[in-house]
Amino acid sequence: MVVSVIITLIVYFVIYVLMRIMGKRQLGELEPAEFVVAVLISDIAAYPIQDVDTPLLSGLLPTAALVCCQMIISGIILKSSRFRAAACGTPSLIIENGRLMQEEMKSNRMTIDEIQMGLRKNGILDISSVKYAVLETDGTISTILYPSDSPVTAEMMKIDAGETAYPVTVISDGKVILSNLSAAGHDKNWLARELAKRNAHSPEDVFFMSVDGNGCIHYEPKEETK
Amino acid sequence: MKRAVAAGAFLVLMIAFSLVNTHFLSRLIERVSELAECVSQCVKEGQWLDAEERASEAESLWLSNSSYLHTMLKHRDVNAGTEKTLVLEMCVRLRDEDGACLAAAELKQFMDDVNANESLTAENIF
Repeated sequence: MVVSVIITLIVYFVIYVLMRIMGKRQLGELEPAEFVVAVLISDIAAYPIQDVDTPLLSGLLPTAALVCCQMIISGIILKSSRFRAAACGTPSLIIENGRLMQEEMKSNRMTIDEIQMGLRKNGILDISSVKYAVLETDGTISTILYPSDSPVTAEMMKIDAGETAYPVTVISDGKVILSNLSAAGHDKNWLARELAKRNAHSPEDVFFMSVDGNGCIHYEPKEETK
Repeated sequence: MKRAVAAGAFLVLMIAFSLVNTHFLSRLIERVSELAECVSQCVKEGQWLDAEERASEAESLWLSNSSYLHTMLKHRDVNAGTEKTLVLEMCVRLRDEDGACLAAAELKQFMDDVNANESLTAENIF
């Protein structure tokens, strides 16, 4: 038993180091520690399932050890910026003032195609319109456009866009969520009135209904099934 | 950070539990191995009653810890151990000297192998 726990810890740290060496672009929306845990847990947890001859504890103990490692590393990452840089890496500036940072590209082993793909995912086709592009520690690319290429905002246009209000679901698949209804400041009478306005006889006729703080209602009646 | 400290403490506890468990398991397996050796010795000296007593002790020790062994070892290893202790006891009861010596040697070898596989050594880790 202790052998499997020790092996798990060693494999965890070896894969962690290997993932860091492989670089950011290999990860894809997961931090290295999360990636290692995700990869290993799926494999270790499947071991007692695939081999019924193996006791369940042989899968559970190493899995628990991995979760502990992940929590310890997350805790240290929160506390120490130096450890954070070593464990997760640091973001890299790959485009500055519309110019590709070739040294950074080389050090991150990124090709121009990969950068173009990252920009396209952000809705950008022209590199020269990018003021800054940053390769994040999880392998994704964040972009900041030149102000002249940035989308206009309501503030720029001096338009009152109103307040953003959080919508809460009051009916989900025919069922009234009373806690949400009261949290939105309404009651069953209000709901009955709103349903009557929409020719719904009861909440069972409604597939989805939400209301936000401004009183805006989103209403979807149930579609009739054949 | 509290969660990280708790996770660290749990990890240490888990390793400590595993070490204690390995020690306990090792002692149990060693005891069965010792009993197998004793049986072999008694059979060679013609002390069949002592041999019977030792073989019976080995069998009951293994069977009484069966549930624990099944959670710690591969099920086929536990079943093989049960079979070998039963064969040894049967050979001793039948006063089959060659069969008993062979069964005792097989049981001892099996227990030593299981013990070696479960012990915390560099060979087992790497």
